[in-house]
Amino acid sequence: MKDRILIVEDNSMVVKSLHFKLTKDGYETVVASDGREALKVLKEQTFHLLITDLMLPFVSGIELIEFVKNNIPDLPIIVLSTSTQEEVIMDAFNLGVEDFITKPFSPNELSLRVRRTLQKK
Amino acid sequence: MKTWEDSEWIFKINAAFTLLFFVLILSFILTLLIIRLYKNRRNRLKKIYEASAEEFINSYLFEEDIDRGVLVEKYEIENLKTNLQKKVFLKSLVGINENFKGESSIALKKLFHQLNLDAFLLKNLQKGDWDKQSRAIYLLAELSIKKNNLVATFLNAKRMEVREQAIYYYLKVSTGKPLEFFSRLTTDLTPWELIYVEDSLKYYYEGSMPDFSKWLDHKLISIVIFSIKMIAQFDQFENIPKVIPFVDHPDEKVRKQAIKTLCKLSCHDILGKLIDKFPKESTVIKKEIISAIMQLGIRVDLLAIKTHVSENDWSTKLAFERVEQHFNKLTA
Repeated sequence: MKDRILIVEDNSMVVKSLHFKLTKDGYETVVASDGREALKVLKEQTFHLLITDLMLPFVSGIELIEFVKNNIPDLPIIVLSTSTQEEVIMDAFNLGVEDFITKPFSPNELSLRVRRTLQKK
Repeated sequence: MKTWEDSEWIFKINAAFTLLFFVLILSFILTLLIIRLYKNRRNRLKKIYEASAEEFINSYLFEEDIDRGVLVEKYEIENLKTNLQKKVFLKSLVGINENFKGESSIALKKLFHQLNLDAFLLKNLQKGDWDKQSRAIYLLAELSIKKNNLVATFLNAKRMEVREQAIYYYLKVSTGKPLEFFSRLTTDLTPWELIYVEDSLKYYYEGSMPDFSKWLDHKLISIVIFSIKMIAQFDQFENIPKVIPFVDHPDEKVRKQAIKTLCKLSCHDILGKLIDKFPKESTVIKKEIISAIMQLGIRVDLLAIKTHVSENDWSTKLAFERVEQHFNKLTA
């Protein structure tokens, strides 16, 4: 069975590229374009990894991470954000995210980090 | 019943105008309708082109078992026939490139050349209207395409939008020399352009800051003032000796900025010179000197200029009294 990844990102170009790359890498991806949609999908389906932005409409990335850590603690999270502020990165790690990647990012590097995170699990 | 020929002349004129306005309104509504339909069609096409471009770019970047040369050639022939297709493709390319770094970003730049899009942009730059030119410069900047000499010709363009994009290009593309374009300027930068350059240096530029004293002898006053300001902004204390002569510059704005910079850099040695200059200076500079005394001096320095503050020069007098109160509070 393929590992299932939920991508939460409001930039459609990034979403399409991530979906394309991760599908090529052999994963099954589901996309949510905002935090509210992500919460709905998370309640209905099972995933092996969550890749999320922090700046999201309706429900922020931080709120989404808090929800996951409280309700699906086994689901690893990779944050993909434009923020390079140390405070934001520390906040995310303190909430328990597995990895933090800043945009602009290297898709190959992301692919490696996804594989490593899923292997750790 | 009256026929048209029998009608009064006023009625005929009235009828003619009514008809004319009716035709005008009809043409106006028709034009609006045609424009709307044209825009709808164009937007529909844009969406189709966008989807095709993104699909192609992702295939180019991430498909492993494909012949990229064939893929590119085929795409160029089939999907980059019109200017709109090229425009939409470039937008997608830049949009994706903004989010990627490393090998993917390099590959996207390679793709840009492979699809001969540089020729399209250069054509827009050379023959296009100002909006096409500014967009072309923006795209060259975003993709970090080295065309410094060509873009340099737009630094002094008539349209402000084109000039701003040319400045942006230099700030983005010139590694280590963000203000290289200063030497190519022939017209003064507007205050907005200077704010833009300053903001870019403060918030976006990642390289090492240039030595601003290089432009202190620039022929454009706006650049000289900007350089003096930046020396303070980026704490270039080593340039204090080079700034000091500018307190005697013939241009009042230059003198004012030089005093501000020296104050910011806590150059106490300048105070004596400023006090000596005070009686001969303009109101603007007098106020600046009073402010400098507040920052760098003591009450005695202020008293040294008291006799030169004219009773009729209310703004200088007001500035003087404010600083006097400041010193009074300190000694109280």
